[in-house]
Amino acid sequence: MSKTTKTGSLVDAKKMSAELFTLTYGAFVTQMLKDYEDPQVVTAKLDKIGFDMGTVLADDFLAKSANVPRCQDCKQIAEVLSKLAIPNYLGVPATVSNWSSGDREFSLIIESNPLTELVEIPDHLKATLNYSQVIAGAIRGALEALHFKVYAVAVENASNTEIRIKLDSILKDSLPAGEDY
Amino acid sequence: MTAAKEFYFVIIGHEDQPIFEMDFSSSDKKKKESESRHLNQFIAHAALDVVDECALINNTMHLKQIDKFNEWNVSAFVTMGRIRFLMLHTQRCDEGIRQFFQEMYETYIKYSMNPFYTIGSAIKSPAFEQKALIYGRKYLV
Repeated sequence: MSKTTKTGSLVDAKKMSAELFTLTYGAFVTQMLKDYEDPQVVTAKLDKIGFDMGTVLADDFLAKSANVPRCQDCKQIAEVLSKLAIPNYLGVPATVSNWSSGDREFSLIIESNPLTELVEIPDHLKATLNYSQVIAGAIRGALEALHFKVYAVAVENASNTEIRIKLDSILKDSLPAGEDY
Repeated sequence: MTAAKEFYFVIIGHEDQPIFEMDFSSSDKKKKESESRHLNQFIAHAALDVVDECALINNTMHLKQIDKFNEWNVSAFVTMGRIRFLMLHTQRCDEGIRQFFQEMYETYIKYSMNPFYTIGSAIKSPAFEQKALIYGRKYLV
């Protein structure tokens, strides 16, 4: 359901209310928490859903923005993600910061994350549930479709959402998208 | 010497259970809280029947002052979802209470949209408490 929403925001004619989107995602996550009972499993599932969305979105994104060059390093990946991909699909901009481990690791800061609008995560879930992990998963999936293997984790800060991305390796060209070694 | 301004605010759910309580006072706050809360709860509970009756015949959400017990006046506000806001106050302060109810109504709506909150359960959010405190200081004390 959130998949259609995200692609929907790219096509102007099919925009939906941000509130409906937030509530839908919220209901979805809380229902998963009830069903699986373990917040860590829910985080993993959200990551998987995001990953599946990402593998599809990568193609969609590149088809719609033809003049994106092939990224050579992490700096370029961060630039494209923060300036093009995230504003396109999420409707809000992101900023890049916290570079570390020799420019292979960085954070994307999303200031007004539409997923967490009105959401207050209870204290006992803060450590184990990554509420916006679906975004991190989508980034991981999209980059994997483009042969970059990354680790992505979504962390909720007090006022923003931080997506920590770490480039692991560049996959061999022949590998089909969405499959691990 | 004028008597201290005191307020006791409570949100009440569908099964007459308190969802959120807070005291405001122009004098020392902490001392008062433990002293008279049980009495406040009692007065508020006693006023519920009157609130329900008033809500039936009035079309507005804000019901103004509806009950009185000793020095305590009771004002009420019933939301569209039949969540009742009660305010016990020692001094008349209609305009302030009206504005306070209005702000708290908005805060409550926003909070109830939080997917982790189930309607009718107690509100334990520090952020919500903080907001109530700010509005209380702004409009009441």
